[in-house]
Parts: sequence; structure tokens; C-alpha cells
Amino acid sequence: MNDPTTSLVIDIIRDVIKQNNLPEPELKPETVILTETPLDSLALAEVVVRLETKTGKDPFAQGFINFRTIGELAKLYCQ
Amino acid sequence: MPNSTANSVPSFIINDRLITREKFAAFMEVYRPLVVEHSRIVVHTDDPIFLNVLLILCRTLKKELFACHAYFKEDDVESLVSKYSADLLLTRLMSTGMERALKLKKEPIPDGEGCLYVFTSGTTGEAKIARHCWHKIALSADFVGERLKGKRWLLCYSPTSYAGLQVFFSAYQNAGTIYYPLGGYEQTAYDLSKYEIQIISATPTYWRLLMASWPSDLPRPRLVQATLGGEIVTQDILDAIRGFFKPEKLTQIYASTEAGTAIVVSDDRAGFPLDYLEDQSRVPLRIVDNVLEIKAHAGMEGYLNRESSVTSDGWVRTGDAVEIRGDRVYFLGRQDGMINVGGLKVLPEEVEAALTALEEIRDARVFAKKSPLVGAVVVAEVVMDPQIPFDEPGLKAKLKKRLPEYKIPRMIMPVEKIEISEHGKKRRF
Repeated sequence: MNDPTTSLVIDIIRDVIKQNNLPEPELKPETVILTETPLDSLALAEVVVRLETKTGKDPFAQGFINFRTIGELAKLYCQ
Repeated sequence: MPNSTANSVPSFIINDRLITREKFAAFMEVYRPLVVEHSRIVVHTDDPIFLNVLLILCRTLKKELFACHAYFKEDDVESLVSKYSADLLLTRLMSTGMERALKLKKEPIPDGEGCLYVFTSGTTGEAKIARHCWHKIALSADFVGERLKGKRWLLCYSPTSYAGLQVFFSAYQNAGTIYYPLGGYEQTAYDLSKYEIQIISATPTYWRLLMASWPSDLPRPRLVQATLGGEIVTQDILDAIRGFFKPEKLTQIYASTEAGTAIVVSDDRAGFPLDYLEDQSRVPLRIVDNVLEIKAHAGMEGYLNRESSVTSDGWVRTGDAVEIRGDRVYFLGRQDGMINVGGLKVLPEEVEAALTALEEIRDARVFAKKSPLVGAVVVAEVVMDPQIPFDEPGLKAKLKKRLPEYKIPRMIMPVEKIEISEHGKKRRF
């Protein structure tokens, strides 16, 4: 069972994939976003914009933090 | 590993294939007779090696060359050929297998110094065509010197863009090896590691995506030179590259088609030193009404198809707003609200016009949302016709028919009314 933030990240990624008519892969906390999902850089930027709107948090306010997987991205919104 | 002995010709790595200097020189000999016979040549190709062969031939033989972007449509290229009376069209598209050399009879064009025509991004219809002298475009003084001789370079910009051409000529003059990435970021990471690439020049967006896609167990290449440009360079991305790749030298370059390379900073800090404004040994800079202006020196000669924004006394108004804090000048963004999405420029008014052209939308406001990945993304607020329900995916699908992907708002929000600033303008932030 995923924690609520991870589930939120997965839901938003799924929405963005659907909206862009892309094939949907299996989405797990360890999925590497840019290589194991069909999201390109713009679509991933959209995920981040939507996450900020949903959570009211902007973990990147102080600058870029590197993340690769869904779990790593979700963690940034947990703090 | 490619041999890196100094020689006057570079070698190339593309699709896991090494094209040696000898092979490249042999390609040049194949095309030389064709180029010699003509004066004004249009090349349309998605094969970077073919483009490079023509760049060097046309430079050496002092010919005029139009370097079309690979994504131009065949019809647009043909109308370009007739509009500017070219006498040779060379097409080589690996994507469609199309290959041809179309010779056109023309009045002889008098011999001259030749030049290179570079297209700005956009479709052919709206692209500006900048005319560059061969000796100026090949002269990136920041990229020569013993330190960079015979090294291995990543060329990740579009090979026909101004930035891509500068990287190519820099690598060429330094007898380097050029690696062209054709796969995604992860594949590029594997190749950078495998081929021990030493020099990377890219936008902040490219750097971020490369680091975000880097497999955790993959060794990182030892970089002699890491360069950023094309977008505002912030402290966080400088720190991230410094920590991730530990390059010997980390450099920010501010350059434009109109002015050439104007600012080069390698002190690991965002912005540039205030004393650059006074330094007589550098390209002259000044700040007028919070906007940076540059004295044009190594930029283009002019646009072929429109007025240049260079003033009669040679100053270029960049449109980039700056601010002085302490001993440093920092870039704030575009004065005209232009949005920079990963190095690609978007004017909010253009997207607003596309939105309000839809009958269900009464009014729209388009602005930038800062994005940690691509610098900024386009977002929009819309006032809907109250009779029609708001349907975000539906609106986006309609916009897709009118705008390229990067200009489409990634998020569209319905609002009651559009906020107006005290000056009566739509707020752009």
C-alpha cells in the first residue's frame, strides 16, 4: 500500500498521461519517471505544476532538487 | 576510444558509429565538385554529419549556405529556394529516406566571401533568417586554446541552431570529436559515460533533465568544461552541476544571434560581475531602463527577411531585464513577458490570441509558472462562456491544432474575471 503522497503523485501522473493520450505503464514508487514512463520534460513539468496546486507546497522554491523516481518525487512533498 | 591526436579535422560519434577524420575528409571530397559549381546552396537534412560536411565545404569555398532545420516541410524549403534564387538544393532526410541534389540554372552569382544563413526557431513561415559571416560564426574566442584541443564534445543543440553551430565550429577548430545524441536522456547518459565525453554545452533545462535521468550506478565522465546558456542561469543549477559532474571549469555564456557572445562567466556564481560594465577589454555592455544592451560585435550581419533591432550606433537592446545587487548583475527575465520554456521562446499574447479565438472562451490571461525542470511552463486562466462547461483536455486538444507543443498551456484554470494591473495590463506573473 502506497502512502497518500505517493498515491497522489501516481494519480496526477496518470491524469497527465491520459490527457496527452500516451500509453500508460505500471506506476510504482520505484518507477524512474523520465525513462520508464512516456512523460517528456514538458509533461513532467506539468505534473510538478499540478502537484503544487494540489498540495500547496513548492519544494523547488529554493532551487532544483534532483529526483528520478516517483517515490523520490513524492518524498519532496511530504516534508 | 576515439583517438584524440590534434589534427585539423574532427571525428564524430553517432548511433554508436565512429566516423573518423579520414572518412569525414572523404565525404567532403565526394561533395566538393558539386559545391564548387554552385554559389547559393540550400541544405535540408536531419543527418548532422552531412550538414557538417557542407558547412566546412561552403566555408572553405566561400559559398552562401542556407541551413534549414530538419523539421521544415519540403514545400517550404522549395519556396525558399525560389524566393532567394538558390542554385542548388541538397536534401538528405534519414527519416523518410529522401535524398536528392536539385541543380537549378541561374544567372551566375558573383563570387564573394559567402555567408551562412541561420534560421531562428519557429516554422519556416515565421522564422527569421540571420546572415552570418563565415569568419565570425566560426570564431568563438571563448572556446579555443590548448586546454580544449583534441577533446570529446557533446553536441545536444539542434545542429542548425546558432548554439549548435557555435559548438560545432568550436569542436572543429579544436580538432575535437563530436558525439551526437539521437536517443533519450538515459541513452545519452550511457554514451557520455562510455565515450568519456569531456565537454558539454547545454541549456539549464538540458542539464537538469540529464542529471534527473542519470542511472545511479553509472560512472560520470570527467568534464574539462561544462557550459550553460540560452536561459537564465540560477545558482541552484550551477551548484547542482558542480556537485554532480565536478567539472574542471563551469562557464555561463550569454549570447544572442544579433550580438554574438557577449558575457562569459566562470566563477560558479549566478549573474555576472558589475565591473564587466566598465571593463574596456570586454564586449561593451550597458543597462538602460533595467534592460541589458550589448554593443554588437560578433553577431549576425543582419536579417534577410526583416529589420534588425540593432540601433544605428550598434547597440542591441536584448529585452532581458536585469537588476544590480551588490557587486553583481542578475538576470530577472524578459521585459516583454516572453516565456522561456527550456530555451524556446513563447510570447503570452500569441497564446492568448489562440485561446480567445476559441468560441467558448471570452478572455484569457497567459503567464509563466516557474518550473524546476524546464525553467518555466506556460499556464493560462480563462473566462468561459457561461453556457459552455469547462473542459481542460478539450481546450488543449483544440490548441494543439494551432500551436506547437511547448506553447500550449500545461494547465488551464477557469476564472470569473481576468486580473488587470494598475497600468491596465494583464498581469504576467
